[in-house]
Amino acid sequence: MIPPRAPAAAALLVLAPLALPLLGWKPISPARKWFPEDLPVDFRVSEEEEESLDLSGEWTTANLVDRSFQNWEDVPCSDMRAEYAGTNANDNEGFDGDSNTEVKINDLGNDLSSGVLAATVTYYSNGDSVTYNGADYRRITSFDIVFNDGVNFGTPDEIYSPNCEGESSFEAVATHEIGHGIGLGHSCESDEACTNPTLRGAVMYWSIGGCETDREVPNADDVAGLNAMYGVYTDFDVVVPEGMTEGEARTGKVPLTVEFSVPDDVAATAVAYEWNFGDGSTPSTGRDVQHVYEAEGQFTVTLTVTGNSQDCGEYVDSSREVGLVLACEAPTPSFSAVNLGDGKVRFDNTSRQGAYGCTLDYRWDFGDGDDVATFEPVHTYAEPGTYAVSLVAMGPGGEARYDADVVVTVAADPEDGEGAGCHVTGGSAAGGGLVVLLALARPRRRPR
Amino acid sequence: MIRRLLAVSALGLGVLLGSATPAAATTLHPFTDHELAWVADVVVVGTVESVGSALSGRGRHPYTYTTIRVEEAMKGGAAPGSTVVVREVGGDTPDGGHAFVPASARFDVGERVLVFLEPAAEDGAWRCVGMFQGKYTLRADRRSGRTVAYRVHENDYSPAYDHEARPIPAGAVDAESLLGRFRRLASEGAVPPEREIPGLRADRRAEFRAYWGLPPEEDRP
Repeated sequence: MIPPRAPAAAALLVLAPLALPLLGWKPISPARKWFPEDLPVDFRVSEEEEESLDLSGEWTTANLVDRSFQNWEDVPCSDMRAEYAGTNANDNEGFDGDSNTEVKINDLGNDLSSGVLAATVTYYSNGDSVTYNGADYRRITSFDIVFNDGVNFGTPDEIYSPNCEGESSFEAVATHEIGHGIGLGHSCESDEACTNPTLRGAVMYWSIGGCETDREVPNADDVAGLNAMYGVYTDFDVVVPEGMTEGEARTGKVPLTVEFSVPDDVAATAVAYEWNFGDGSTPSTGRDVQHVYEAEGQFTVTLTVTGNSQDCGEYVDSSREVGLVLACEAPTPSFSAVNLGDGKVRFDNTSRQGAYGCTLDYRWDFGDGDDVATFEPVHTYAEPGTYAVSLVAMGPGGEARYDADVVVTVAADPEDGEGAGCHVTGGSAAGGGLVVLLALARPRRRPR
Repeated sequence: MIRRLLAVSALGLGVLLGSATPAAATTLHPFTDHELAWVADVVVVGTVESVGSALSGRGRHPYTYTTIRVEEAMKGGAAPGSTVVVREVGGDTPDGGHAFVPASARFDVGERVLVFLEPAAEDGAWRCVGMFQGKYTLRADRRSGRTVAYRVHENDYSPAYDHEARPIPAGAVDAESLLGRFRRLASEGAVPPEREIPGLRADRRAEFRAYWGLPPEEDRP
């Protein structure tokens, strides 16, 4: 018999214990978490089944793991999300430190000692960090869970059965290990310090007994930890004009007007807002705001909400970087040319380097029937002459074109080397100009 | 286009160069003294001579190897004056990170220890039974003038585990009493009371089940 899930009840549990000073949760040190942009956590499960489970019913190892992830996803006010990505066939050899999040069974790598039910290694990047609810976290990149062999694991049917015979709850252990994989440490570190029943009953308590029930759903201590690391997600909506996508609404030519609004679910518990548009302007405080970006740049928008939620308790400064706006000037393409000999010409792209993302593509027309889309091409002309070369730059700020004539002649002195005899005359203003190139390095092959 | 490609390449390079560093944790069976003494093949008192990390054959996952000079052997064939090597999952990584496994046993050069060991690998190394539970630190308590014994269970990784810099925990017990109890349990070799020890290695499981009249595992329903 499987007990029904009751997320609402779990939420109510949070409220009272949060006021007590005896919560023991802590992040693994150094603290780490999944960054919002990396969610959901894509996880894989060994193709083989855990050998001790009674899988005669609806259960498989994979769906028990999936259910264990769901235990964390069901915690109200948390943005933790995970997604089953299939089996990890031919990769069940314990901790390997690769980039995949994997659940491995039967300890084929022989890493675990007697008395260990399962262990988790949580890999993180030292190079990335984020401040969240006042604490600094590194970026989790993946984790490996290894279940030991020789453990008599049970499905929920077995654990909640009156005929349970000492099986350890696979779901509870998996939920515990996933807790490590998302950054949570043990609720306490020694027997002496663990007289508090809230800590001993937590999913993240370090031990579990046979036939022990009610250890698979995060309790008050677990929820407090999860919400500190993943809770009270504050997001905004960008008002999207008809015929545009949200990405297009956030990106465009200056002056760029963007409208933001707070979604209803956040507004339902919010009492104050502060918008920071990332461009040095004065913050706004309304629920629905409009902002004009006058200068080119890539801007991070931050919304800070103070609020009160029945599910989450009172929260303050629920702040995070919630989105980017890219405002762009029109591109200003330009180029110069350098002789490389044998009719070969290198084109140096001297276009204005604006904000990252403001020029996405360049297209060259060499005037001899050839063209290419690249940043700085090298082109070989088959015969001397004057060629009308154009460079078109495209980006969110629009499209602009630069034209110039390139003169290619036969070399007079083959020993002069690169650039010998080259000179540039004429202007190069956007939209027109003259580049005169004397390509004189070596006698060229005759045109075919 | 090229800038975009360069940016993407730089991002990829950053991912490659940025040290991806692990940490880990576990779910454990709480051992009784009787279980510890019975499960372990080797029970010794000794002093740590060296601690070092080496990568496993599976990429960059490290192990820590600790050499202990034996002072007293309560169980197993380790003679006083010989050494035993203990291998624990986790350790230093070449990129400067660390794969500490919370709840695993950590060792410090010069630390006097009582350890309960089982075979770890084909290379002859041992490992602590039940992770931190299979290792006691034996240390003089200056306040009482007595030697005390205690275990350390850590969530946190501190780069240098200096056992003398740590305060003696409140749960420390008199070392001589503890050693006396384990000498007796180790010499008796009795199978512990019937309570399943998860993750027990196969030979001990068979012994345990036979002793308590349980059907062999292959006969389990």
